[in-house]
Amino acid sequence: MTKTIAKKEFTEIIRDGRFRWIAGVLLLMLLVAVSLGYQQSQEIKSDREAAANMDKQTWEAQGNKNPHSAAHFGHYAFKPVTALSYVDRGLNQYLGVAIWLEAHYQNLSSHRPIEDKTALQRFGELTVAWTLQYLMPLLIILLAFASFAGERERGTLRQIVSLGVPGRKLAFGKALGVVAALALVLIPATLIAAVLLAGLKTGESFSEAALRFITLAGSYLLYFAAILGLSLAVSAKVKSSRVALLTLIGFWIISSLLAPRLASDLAERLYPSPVVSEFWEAISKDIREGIDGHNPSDERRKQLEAKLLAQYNVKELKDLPVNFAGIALQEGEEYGNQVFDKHYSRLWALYEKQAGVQQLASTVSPLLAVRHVSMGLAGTDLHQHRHFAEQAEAHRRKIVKLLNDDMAQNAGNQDYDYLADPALWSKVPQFKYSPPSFALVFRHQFGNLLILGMWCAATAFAAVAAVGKMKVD
Amino acid sequence: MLKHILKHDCRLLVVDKVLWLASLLIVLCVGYAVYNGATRAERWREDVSQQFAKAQEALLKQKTIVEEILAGKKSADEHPREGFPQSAQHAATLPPGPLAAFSIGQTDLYPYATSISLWKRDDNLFAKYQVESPLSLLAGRFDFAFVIVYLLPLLIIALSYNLLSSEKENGTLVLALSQPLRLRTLITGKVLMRLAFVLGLVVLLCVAGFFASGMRFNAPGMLGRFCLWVMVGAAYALFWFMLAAGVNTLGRGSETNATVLTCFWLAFVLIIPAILNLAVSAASPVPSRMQYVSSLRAAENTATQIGNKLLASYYSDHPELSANGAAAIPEWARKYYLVQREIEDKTTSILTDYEARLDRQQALVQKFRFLSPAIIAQEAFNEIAGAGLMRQRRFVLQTREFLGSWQAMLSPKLLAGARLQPADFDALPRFAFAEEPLANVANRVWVGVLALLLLTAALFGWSISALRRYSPAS
Repeated sequence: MTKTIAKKEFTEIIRDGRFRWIAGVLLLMLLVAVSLGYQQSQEIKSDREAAANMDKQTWEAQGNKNPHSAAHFGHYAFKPVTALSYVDRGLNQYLGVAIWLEAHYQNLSSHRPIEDKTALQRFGELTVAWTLQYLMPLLIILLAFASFAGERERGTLRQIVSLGVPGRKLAFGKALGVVAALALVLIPATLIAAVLLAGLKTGESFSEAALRFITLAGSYLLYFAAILGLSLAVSAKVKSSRVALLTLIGFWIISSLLAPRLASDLAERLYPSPVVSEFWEAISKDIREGIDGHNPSDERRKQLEAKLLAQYNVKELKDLPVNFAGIALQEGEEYGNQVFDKHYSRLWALYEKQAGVQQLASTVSPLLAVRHVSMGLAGTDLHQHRHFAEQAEAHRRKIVKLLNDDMAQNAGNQDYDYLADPALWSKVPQFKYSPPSFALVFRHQFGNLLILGMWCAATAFAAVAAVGKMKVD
Repeated sequence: MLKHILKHDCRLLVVDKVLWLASLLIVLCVGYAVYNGATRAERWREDVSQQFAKAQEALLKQKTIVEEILAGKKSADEHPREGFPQSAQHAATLPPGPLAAFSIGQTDLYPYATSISLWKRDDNLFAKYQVESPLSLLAGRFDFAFVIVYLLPLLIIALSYNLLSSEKENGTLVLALSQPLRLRTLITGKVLMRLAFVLGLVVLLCVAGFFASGMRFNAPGMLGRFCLWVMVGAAYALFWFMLAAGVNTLGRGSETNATVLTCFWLAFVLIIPAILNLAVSAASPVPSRMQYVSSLRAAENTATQIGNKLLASYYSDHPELSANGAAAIPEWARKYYLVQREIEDKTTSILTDYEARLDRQQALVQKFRFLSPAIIAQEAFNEIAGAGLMRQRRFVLQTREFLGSWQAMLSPKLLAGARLQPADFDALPRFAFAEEPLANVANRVWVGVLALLLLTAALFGWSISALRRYSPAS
């Protein structure tokens, strides 16, 4: 019986000219989005490779230079493009493309692509994720809102119910019909995206990328299923198809337009992002006056002097067998690192709390849940950015220490007049980023996936219940 | 007859619960949005004035120490850096836009303050400002402009999707037309009634929001900007009413009307902007800045290596400055300054190329915004409120110019190796952002308003002709 219902529903849908139009346009949009996204990914990838190569050359061409000057010059860590970023660009437009690794400072990523965009970007960007998150639910609503309400209006519902089909089967059959119609759009799009994924080489392991891709596809299916379940439930529950459509469009507006803005606004209100000037002022204050006012910088310096003089058993700094400036620099770095750890972990914790508020809001808006899962799996979310930033920072600490140590060992009494041999530059390792494993990503997204699953289960339950208790006229 | 229609419709509207509920929602949304914008602007204003005050205070402190050194109260050895031209810093700040409480626009993306010193270059004038939560940036802001551009059309659609269709479905249309009443008069009356209500609501909300967020008309240009804002809002609302009326004249059922109007709304606020965004980026791409970063660094490397040469050639061009043999300022500092200028020299063209590309994109948006009334309105609102790209670009250009005058005044002193004198501190330039004249803003905005009105007029003409074919019987 389920099969018959599904077949009837499917035939009805694909015979409808409006469906063919809308589905065609949607498929076209998906294809444009996937191919342009793919092309852009490739461009960023080659951009990044060229920049990293050039940066290496520049670094090695420094000639004779004081190691500390070289540390000030620093390195750049360029953010790699992730394999699935052509599906979901996530926060990429709003996060910097590179982090400057210089002496004394842990920097935020800079050169955010959004700053080279017009205000149109804020309306949205045609990507696969955008199309699936915003437009696909509308297509589902359009296909399903009249499922029961329409039959009721035409008077055919009474006959269907009189056949004695249980509510579960009836709801399932209708859902299956809609799913079959949707598959006409989704399957070709997924196939093309999968083929493109196989062709994209970003240095990530293919099996990891494939796992991400499959989970991504699965979470979108959960999202669509939730919308479909809701549509069927509303269609069975309300009086007329008109009311069903209005209710569902209203839900879509709340879920896609209002909830994301209101949730991020609420998150900002509960956990306000720092003002830039305050953020950096607090850092330099902690470095100058010591964390929480303990151990200010001039005292730290005096302690270091005394410690070194005692250690090497000499009376004056110039008699030390090592260069004091180099040691003091490294000591300063290490203190600074503690300060950066404190302030950056605060900043990340803040962002995470904000994301937590959004997760809470995704109990009202499934779009928020699927958006987070999607960016997470595509590697374009905050977790992956933090992962990148932390590896970059570890690299910064490594190279700055290497350079300071060279100065401490070899500068003698020359301090900043000491010039290191260019051979030193090639000893400094290049930054190489290794992305998080699928397991880690999955753990991060588990909560959001759970919410999506709950949406799905709840709406399915609601649909079956509503169909079971549905009034025939 | 029109009077009767208006009166009758008014009675119907007054008892319509949906109308009051929807209006209440809009009022709440606007209230929250303006509160949001106002708190943001307030925080911005405070931060800006604090940064400015701090910089001024630091300068004053230096000046006092220099005076004390001159008076012999302090020794120069204990204060090695005070009075050095490169130690002088100034804060160049951008105040919130004139109608900042109404539109957050693009202002959450860009820096609004920077410190100016001899060490700064055009490319690193604004460094270290990207702390705003990227999640919030992605979600967008809930401001007044958002409520008008996205939500107001929904209220209008809810009010007028069934202007004629409901009468037809109830069978009252034939009855009404049996009276000496033209269909045209009937629909005009209905639209006018609703239009008056919505426009009244919009104007009221604008006025209330304006005063509640602490803005006043006595500031220069405020009245003009406010009027422009209301005009854009009104033209946008008018367009949606006309579209709803036009769809009604097609003679379809209420359900079809609602679906068609919702589709228009979707196309205008969601789909067309997203596609246009893609098209504009594809037509005039701005490449990622990764390559730019590495070009900058290559230039820095080369410039640093020829630092000695730069200094020598500078002194051979300016022999009067090198006369000071016992320079108070170390050589590395003088060299460093010249190195910065050299880097700037070699890379400014890349920087301006990026900016030119963005300008080309913006020009394309200006040209193609007519594809969607929502884009027209959003762009206009950003412009009027001072929350758009143009004002930001103006700020950047003005700071660069200011940096130039700062350098022009202080670099000869640095290169001559001379400390600043108390009088020099007083003569330092001060940055004040010069707001774009309202006339220029209006010049860009009125085209949009005109386009909205023309679209509305075209819809009007088309509806009139469609009405002739309208069959009142269901």
